Amino acid sequence: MGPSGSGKSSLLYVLSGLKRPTSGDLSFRGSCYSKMNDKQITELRRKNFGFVFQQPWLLNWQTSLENVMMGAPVIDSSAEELADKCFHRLGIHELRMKQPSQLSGGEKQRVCVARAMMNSPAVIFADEPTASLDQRNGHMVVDLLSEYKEQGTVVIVTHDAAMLSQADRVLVMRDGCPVDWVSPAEAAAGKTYAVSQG
Amino acid sequence: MAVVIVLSVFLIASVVTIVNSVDLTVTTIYNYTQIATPIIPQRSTLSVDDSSEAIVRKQPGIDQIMDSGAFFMNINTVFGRVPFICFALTDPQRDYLMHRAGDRLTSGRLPVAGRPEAILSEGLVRNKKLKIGDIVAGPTDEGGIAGCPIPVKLVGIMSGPSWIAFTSRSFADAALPAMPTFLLVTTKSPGDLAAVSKSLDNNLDHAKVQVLSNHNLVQQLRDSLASMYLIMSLVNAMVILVVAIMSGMLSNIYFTQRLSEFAVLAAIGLRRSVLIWHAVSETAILTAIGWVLGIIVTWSSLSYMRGTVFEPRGMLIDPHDIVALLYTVPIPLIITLFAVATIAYRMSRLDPVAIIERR
Repeated sequence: MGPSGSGKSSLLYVLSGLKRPTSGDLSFRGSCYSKMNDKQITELRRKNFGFVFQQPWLLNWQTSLENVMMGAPVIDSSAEELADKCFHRLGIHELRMKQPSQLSGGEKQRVCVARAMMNSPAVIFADEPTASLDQRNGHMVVDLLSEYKEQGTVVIVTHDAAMLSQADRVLVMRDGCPVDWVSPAEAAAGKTYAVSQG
Repeated sequence: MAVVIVLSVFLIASVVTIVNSVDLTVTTIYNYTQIATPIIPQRSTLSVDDSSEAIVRKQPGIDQIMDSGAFFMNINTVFGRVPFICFALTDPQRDYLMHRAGDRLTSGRLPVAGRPEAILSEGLVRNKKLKIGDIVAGPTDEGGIAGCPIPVKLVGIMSGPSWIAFTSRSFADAALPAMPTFLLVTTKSPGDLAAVSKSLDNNLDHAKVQVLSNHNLVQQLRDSLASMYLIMSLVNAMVILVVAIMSGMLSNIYFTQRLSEFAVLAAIGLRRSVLIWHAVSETAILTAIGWVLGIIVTWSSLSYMRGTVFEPRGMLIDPHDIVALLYTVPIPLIITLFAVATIAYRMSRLDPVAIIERR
């Protein structure tokens, strides 16, 4: 976490392969990003990573279920079964046949979380997933993401310390650089803000 | 988007149908010549000469040669009032032609021999806004190539595909002695009429008689309206081009607005080819629905307008004009093409992060 412009989102994009680093390199399970072409990076994201963005973008002409199926490694009949399980696991089964236009902002973001989990990714990257939601819906989304900790890593970018109560570690960013690792309690107590303000 | 397609289809189909109504009027007015071909004497004589009649009788494939009288009545068309022929035939000849034309009397009765009475097809009745008992033609008629010295009353209405009118031969003989008579030729097989008429046209002396075959009549009128047909074609082409390009540009704007959706899908790892395919299928479904709705709107509107606007003004219109429907096919195709081109171009330069960060 960190203030606006501290480089939180940029770090997330670099880690997830959405942006190429200007210097240095990253690797995932032994594979260096710098040795992968765009197609291979896309494939890496599809198979190993899940994404939740600030805006809950969904295809308006598809149902929630079909939108979630888009996150499957291969879109076939088994993907529907998988998506169905995902809706059940997240307790949003009643949303599965609704169109995005029929959903509230919070509901849309929960569908996006389901989509991010569809491919059982090793890492879920969430870029300010609660920024466009009210506190209640924000907590719901964070709770859903936290449940995934058992299966994989969840990287959340936020500037709202209240959303990090279930985090294991918090990396504080400032001026494009990681500054310090703090506990969620320290983050909630405002240490990060103090640190980031120098 | 769908509304734009509906309106575009409606606009093009309506313009083409209305433009085509001119030709439909021409072909409908002369539709009776697809049942029988009149062979008329040139202006100096009152009947077909013997030598010409002998040539006609020798022509193979002919079923009947009827000696017919006639009078003319005015009908309303898009070109103004034009004369329409009312055949004066004997009862058996009239029944034979009605059978050939697929017409049947649906209201009123048949004309009584010798009386100034006539039966008309329902299309003619609607065109002249008549009801049974009204005067079909009379000495006070204005315009037309020949009137009728005695008022002729409508006594029956026929229904069927053709525009045709009959009075009794004995009435014509008694009341219209100065009116020329002519030959009305039918073929054993109705499908042979065009070929037989063409053969007669080639064999007969045009200084003595004229063969009013369907082909000749329609061609003559189309030739005389050639400039108008050219203008109509240009109008069609311009409307289609402008509407198609505008629809395509709207499609471009529509997909540009939705680029963020595609950026997110690209970010989560969907290949660009998959995204393009999704855009194409979405556009195809949308345009197909818009096109069908547009056709339904066009058919409904033109059907309503046929009875209220066109027919009272003597304009024939086919609300279900297949040609007009074909003219609208480029709309969904061009919109889909624009959508694919837009998406493909944007996808080739897509930076998902730039779009996601823009939020």
